[in-house]
Amino acid sequence: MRGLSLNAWASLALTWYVLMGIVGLLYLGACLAGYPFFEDGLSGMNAVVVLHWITAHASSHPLVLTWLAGLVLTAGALGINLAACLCQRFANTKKNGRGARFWVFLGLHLIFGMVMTLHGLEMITGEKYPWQQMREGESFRTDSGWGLNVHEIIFINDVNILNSDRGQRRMAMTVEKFNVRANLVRASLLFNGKVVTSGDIRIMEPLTHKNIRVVLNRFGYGPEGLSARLRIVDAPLHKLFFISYALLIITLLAWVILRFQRS
Amino acid sequence: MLEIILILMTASALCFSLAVAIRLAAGRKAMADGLANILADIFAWAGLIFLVSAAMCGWMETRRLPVYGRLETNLHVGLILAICVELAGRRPHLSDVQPWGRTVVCALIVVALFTHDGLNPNFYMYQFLSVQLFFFLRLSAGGVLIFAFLLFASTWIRLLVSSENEKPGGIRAAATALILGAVLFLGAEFSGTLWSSLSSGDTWHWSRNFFRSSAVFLLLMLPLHAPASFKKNVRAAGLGTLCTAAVILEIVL
Repeated sequence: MRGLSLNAWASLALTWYVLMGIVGLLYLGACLAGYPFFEDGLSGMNAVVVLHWITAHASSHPLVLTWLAGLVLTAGALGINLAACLCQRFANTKKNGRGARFWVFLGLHLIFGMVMTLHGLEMITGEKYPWQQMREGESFRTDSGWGLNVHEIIFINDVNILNSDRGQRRMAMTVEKFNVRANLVRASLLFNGKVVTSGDIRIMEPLTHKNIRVVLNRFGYGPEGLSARLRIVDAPLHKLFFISYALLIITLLAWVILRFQRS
Repeated sequence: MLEIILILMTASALCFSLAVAIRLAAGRKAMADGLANILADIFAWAGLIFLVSAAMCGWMETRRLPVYGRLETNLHVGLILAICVELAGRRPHLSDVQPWGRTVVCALIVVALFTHDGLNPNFYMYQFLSVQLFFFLRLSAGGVLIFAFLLFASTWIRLLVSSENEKPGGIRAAATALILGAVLFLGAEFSGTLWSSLSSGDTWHWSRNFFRSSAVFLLLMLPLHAPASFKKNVRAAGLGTLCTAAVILEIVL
């Protein structure tokens, strides 16, 4: 009975249909993302950790929740299928048949499974706090004790480029007109009211403290002066995610090289 | 500098079209004689050199790797495809694909010449390596996947016409090109996650672009995980053709 169920789960036909299912769901999501009722749900999922979104906000977005459930279940089926295929392959390959091709093949599928798992775990671990548009001297506190004090916003370029339309932004904010190194935010990260680290935050150059990072996404300019869009993120799995992703690329490349050698 | 790039691209398109024309005019018999083939190869390599020169001029002018935009996209995708066609397409069992590959390179250049808006402005985000690599690897994947598409399609057509049953080397080569394209695409996605992580704190977002990118990778995996009923060469080649075609539309357009 155990063998039968392993065989059923290790079917390549199942892999095929599950992959097709995920592709279908992803394209369905891409199509629905153009509609405000679906886009609002996705924005909510981006603002906080998905687990929190499910417990606090999902009831007002039933379609997004249904779509998400379908995606997670289908991805879960792919994960079980992958594990079953690998078990079967390992069991069916004689020891003397386990050459470089076997190990690279096994490795790349294992690492793919790991990347998928980390994608899933990122939805339920760590902490994400919504974006804050902050001005000089302002502070922000989270429920879990983290806080941010903005001491200074330095912007040396013409502030009018900050109000250019989205379509014109690439023309207006060129390297010559926007100095990404000189434009920065001086801030302190706090935990339970005590400063844990201070420093400069630039675009693509966050302020970090262990797994916590404070990111700056853009500057703003309005009647009340300059502001910066900042966010605190606690992402304990980022390093592991990047390492496994890089390993996946390396093993896939090794697979290509082995195929070249064989042909 | 833009004028020089456009002149080099025009020269390249002329060379590639001459290479195709010579092979078409000579027919298959003359190919065996070699003279027409050698002449076509000379023109194609000249076209490739012009294309490399145009791309290098573009990189020197912008001081960065190519990003999306009609001129930069078509120039870089065309360059990668031309390299694949001239290097891998020399193998005897892949030679069918050479004229088609050269035609597509020529078409990409001509479309760029008539529809371009010049080189992209140097948006401040483009100075980061992770951002540049995201676009560069994605466009490179586009070029390699067009080559994979041509290999799958030429094998599919050949099998449909001749109803051969033996396993042709074309499918194996096409699958290898497809995996190489997937590696480049994953490299782009990896750069994209770094970019996203540094700019927003997340490695990915629930967004239309993320869904489409994930679907692209899985579409590339579909021909490699086809069930037994698809293992017949005609179906395998057909499936590879359709999947790579869908991915190319996603990446290049």
